[in-house]
Amino acid sequence: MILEHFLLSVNETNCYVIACSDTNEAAVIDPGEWNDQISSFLSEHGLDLKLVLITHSHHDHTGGLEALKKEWNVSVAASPGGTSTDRELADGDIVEVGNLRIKVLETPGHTEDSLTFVIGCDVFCGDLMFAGSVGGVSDQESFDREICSIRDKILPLGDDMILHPGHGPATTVQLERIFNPFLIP
Amino acid sequence: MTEKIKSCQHEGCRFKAIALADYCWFHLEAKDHYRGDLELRVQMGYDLSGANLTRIILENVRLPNAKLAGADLSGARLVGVDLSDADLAGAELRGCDMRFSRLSRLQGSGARFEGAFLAECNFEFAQLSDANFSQADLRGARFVGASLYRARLDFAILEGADFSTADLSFAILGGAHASTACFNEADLSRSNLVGADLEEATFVQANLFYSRPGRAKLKKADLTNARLERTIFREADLSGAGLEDADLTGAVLERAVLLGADLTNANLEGANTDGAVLDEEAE
Repeated sequence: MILEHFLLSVNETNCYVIACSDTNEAAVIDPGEWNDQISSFLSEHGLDLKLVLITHSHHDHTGGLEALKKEWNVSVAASPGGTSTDRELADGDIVEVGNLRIKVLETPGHTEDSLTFVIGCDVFCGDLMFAGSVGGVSDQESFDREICSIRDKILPLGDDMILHPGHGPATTVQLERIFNPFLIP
Repeated sequence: MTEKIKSCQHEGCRFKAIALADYCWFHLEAKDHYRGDLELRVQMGYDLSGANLTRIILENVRLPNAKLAGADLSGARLVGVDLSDADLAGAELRGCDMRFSRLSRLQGSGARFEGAFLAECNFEFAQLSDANFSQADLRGARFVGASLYRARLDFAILEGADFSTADLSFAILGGAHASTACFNEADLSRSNLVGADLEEATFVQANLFYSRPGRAKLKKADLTNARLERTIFREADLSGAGLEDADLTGAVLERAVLLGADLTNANLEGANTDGAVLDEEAE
């Protein structure tokens, strides 16, 4: 698998390009903006962008959709309800990009429509959690739901899994299980 | 790689033959001759990309400029090897013993050093972006000027290591044992330092913008004049730390311990100190 990370100027958001190294088919996760750096990466590597995956509908994760769609004929996969969504995703769905199999997990909390994408040992969790922290929420109920999502869906994936959050550095399930203050009872 | 990886010719052996030989290291008889042959081939610019060198034991061997991209050196014992200026991009070095080695200016992007013994190694000015040093022993290693962008060093032993002026942006150092390590003038922006032991480590003029040392042990660490803007120190122990002239604008210090910390001329504008334990005069 090809995996490249792009730090966007909007809100320090992380955008990721993943691609199948056998077929060169690619997907972009959370294009909060669409810029020359991402376009150049795709063309320099001869990648064929087929899909956009959205972890949640906040503008800093979706703001580049319009510009992206002008440049590429892609389908947008996200939770139901988004205005630009072509393919509605639900918990347990498998999305294919070339020979890559991407598992979809519903992980509400930060937003009701939050999704996490799992590809091998790489986990793209949007703003569900960050290194040593969790996503911002508006009320206690959402916070409880967020912690449940992490405990029920993310931690059971196993210590070796690498978490690629929507902001800040990557981390691992092991590091978060041991040190994340929001997860320590 | 100019030759295919073969199976070891020893009857019943299940291992692959090492590069330039017909046997695995265990069954190779002329080991002294092999050492000279390997050094000579490397000197002549022989391409060993993708070579199998697993479990070889060669101390103080000279392999500068070696072309070993994607090679497998897992479990090798290469104490004191000279691999300066070598190409080890994407190479597999898990569990190898390369203590006291010269690896300056190494091209090691994406190389895997998990659990390797690398104490006192010299990685100065090496290119190590996306390399994996998880749980490696790097005591006293030198990474001055090296690029460790997005590298993994989680749970690595980094006591006394020197990372001054290195690029550690987006690197994962969570759970690392890095007491007394030197990060002076290093770029640690957006790095993951959760739970790291950084006692008495020095970060003079280092850039820790938006980094995440939550629950890190930074007792008596020297963060003088460091850029700590938006740094997330949630529940970190900063007791006795030197924060003189540090820029803590918008930093998160929730429930951090700052007893005895020197905050002289530190800029705390917009910092969140909810539940932080501070000296009475600082409060």
